[in-house]
Amino acid sequence: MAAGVAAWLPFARAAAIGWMPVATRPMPVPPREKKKSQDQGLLVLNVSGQKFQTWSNTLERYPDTLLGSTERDFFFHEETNEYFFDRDPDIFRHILNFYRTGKLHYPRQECIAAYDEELSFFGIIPEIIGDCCYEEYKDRRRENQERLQDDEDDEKEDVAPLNMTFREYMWRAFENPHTSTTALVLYYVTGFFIAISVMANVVETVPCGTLPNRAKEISCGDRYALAFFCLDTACVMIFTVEYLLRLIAAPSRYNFMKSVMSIIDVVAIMPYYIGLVMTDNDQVSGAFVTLRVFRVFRIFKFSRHSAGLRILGYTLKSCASELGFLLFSLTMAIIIFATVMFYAEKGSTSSKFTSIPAAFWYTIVTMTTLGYGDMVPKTIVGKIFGSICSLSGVLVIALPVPVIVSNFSRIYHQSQRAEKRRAQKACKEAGQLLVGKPNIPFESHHHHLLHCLEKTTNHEFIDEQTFETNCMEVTMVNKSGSRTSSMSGSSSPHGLSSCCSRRHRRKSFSLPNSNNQELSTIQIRERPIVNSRSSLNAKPDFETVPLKSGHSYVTSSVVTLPPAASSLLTSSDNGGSSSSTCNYSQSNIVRVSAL
Amino acid sequence: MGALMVIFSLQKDQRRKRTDSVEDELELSAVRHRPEGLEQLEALTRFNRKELQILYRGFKNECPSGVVNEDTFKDIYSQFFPQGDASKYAHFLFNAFDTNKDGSVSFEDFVMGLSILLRGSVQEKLNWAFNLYDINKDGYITKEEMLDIMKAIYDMMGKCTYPLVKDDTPRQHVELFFQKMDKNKDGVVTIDEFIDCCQNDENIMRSMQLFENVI
Repeated sequence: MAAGVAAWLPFARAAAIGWMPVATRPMPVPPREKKKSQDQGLLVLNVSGQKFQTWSNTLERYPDTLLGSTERDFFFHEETNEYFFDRDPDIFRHILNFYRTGKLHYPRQECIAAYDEELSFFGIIPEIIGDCCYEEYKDRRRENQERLQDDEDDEKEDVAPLNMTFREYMWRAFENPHTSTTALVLYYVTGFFIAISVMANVVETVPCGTLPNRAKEISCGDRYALAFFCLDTACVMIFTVEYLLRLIAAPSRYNFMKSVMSIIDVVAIMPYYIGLVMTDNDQVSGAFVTLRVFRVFRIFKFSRHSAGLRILGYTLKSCASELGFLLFSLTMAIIIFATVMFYAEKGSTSSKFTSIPAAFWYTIVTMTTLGYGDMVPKTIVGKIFGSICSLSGVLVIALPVPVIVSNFSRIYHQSQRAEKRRAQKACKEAGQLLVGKPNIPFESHHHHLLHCLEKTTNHEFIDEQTFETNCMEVTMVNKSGSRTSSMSGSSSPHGLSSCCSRRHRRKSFSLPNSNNQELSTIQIRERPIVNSRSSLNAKPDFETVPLKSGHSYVTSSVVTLPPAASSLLTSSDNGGSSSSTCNYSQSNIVRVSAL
Repeated sequence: MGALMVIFSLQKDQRRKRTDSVEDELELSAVRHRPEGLEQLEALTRFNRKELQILYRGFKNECPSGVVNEDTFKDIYSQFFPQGDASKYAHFLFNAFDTNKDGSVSFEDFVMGLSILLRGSVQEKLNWAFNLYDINKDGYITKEEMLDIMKAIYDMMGKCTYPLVKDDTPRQHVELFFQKMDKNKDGVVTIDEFIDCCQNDENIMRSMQLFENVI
């Protein structure tokens, strides 16, 4: 809300008169108004020639900032009777609007560093930027910091620390290839060997002509077995050495071994060693052959060399749920159509649709519009359903894919934003608490209002935790009614029975002053209302100060009601309430002493 | 399946378009209310010029259109009572402020109500309170009306109270009230009984003076 709920506090307090006839016990005394010597007036703020004017009240809403406190007096220019600031007027506009509306906005076209400087000059912490602009602000700030960090890192990389150990030097060489020539050489050599190894795996299987004494064609791998073996060995040697060096150089070996890249490395070189260990044992050679498949994982070692590959992998990982959904819906469609086709084609002779799983192949091929033609329906019903299958295949596959792609892009950005927001929220709330230095008059009036309500209804506000504990206590004790009546019976009519560990301070009435008729301006200070119940009760400290300032204490009569519902009367100031609610089992009955 | 998704998203767009047009219509017809002049208000109320200026500025800031409707009223009032539900009591308050029963509280209504509450005589304040309690404005406060008001007040306390607000706590409070106020025990409280009784009660008299220096 704009000027804030504080502007309506007078109304809320006036409306409290509606409770008065209903209340059975007297109301607490309202907090003293601080007499303001100066009337609210216009201030002129001259920022680099651009003049801004506002009420002095507006600025004093935030006493913690430069403009709201006496710090602005340092900038007062007597000759022109205005406050002069030698700062950017464009950004100042936003800062002044913050005082007016309570919301700080971040203009997109401003440089984040300049904006931050202005905020810190005027004593405003950035956490109070409104929700509309907060994300943008944080994003820009993060980018800026990353840019600075990158610059720093680059500088750091170029300027090697002098006293690096050999281990750190190696690690640095492995991670940042452009730092030194050896690193670059390593980078290219490993890249070259990865490529060689992958190509060798591929070429190995190409048929290479026939041997003179055999009719069958054999693959190159079998023909030049030795050459390929040597090549493989060399590559694996290089990879093993590289892996071991990385392992030694890693600052945290455990983390290194857990990382994806090292797992890929291990998987890439394992088949070779397993192959070495295993001899030409027929039983395991089948398994050995499958192991060779894993050699293709060497291609993933390229992801160290290519950032794009890494991003792709990360993207796939993050949209896994969308892909899963696509897969699930496809599976449903496949099962449905396969079942239908199977039963439709059951009748026909020599049908390829021998079972429903066999029909899966047909369904997949038809729905993805591949149409190999190795399985075709022969019956009319089968053909009808087959055509429905292919038509719906177009729909099922072609349509959701763009939707899913755009969905994915939106959800991806959104989840990034949501996570960012969640992380930022904690910071924000901490910041809000800092900047929400309470508006003391507003707070004390608000508390007085709530206190009046408590007195009207004879019940007290407590925060949630104590409420929970009280509930548990009540169920445990099981007879709250008898407890209270016994307490009220046992309390003495004279003096007050104090709580176990603390004295409750008394609320006192002072005679209402009749000389407040003149306009004492309400300093409407705003505070972003933190909507937590417990905080409401946890603010007492500020209230005690104004109440205690120079009053003559007068104890008043507090009439206890005849038995019935509320014989418990605890008079305590709020300072006791938040922390000693568990001790609320007192009834304090005080007799009248002279007014 | 894809067809379903496309159809579904199309429908959502249509619905959105329809509601947008309804909202546009509402916005066009939103009331922009200008209050009477400062002199007239000065004459009608007991506030002086400066006080009226301050009040209006605060009012206009919250309600740029110049009138408060019941929902905004409830919102604003509820912000002062975060622990409970202030909407019912705000509803009664709204009816008390909205003297011409047009469903919105303009600045004149607001400031005249405040003038009575803050600067009025005790008689006027008690009158206002009676008016608040008498929901159907028939000149009598019945037990049902009082019970409604009482429940509304207790609702503002919320559920985390000590001691716990039981179901019949409002009713018992209403009984107490009637015991005190209803002199001839006819089951309703008339305005004279009400004013008489309040004037004889020290506490109530004292609490009526409590908020005099609010502005």
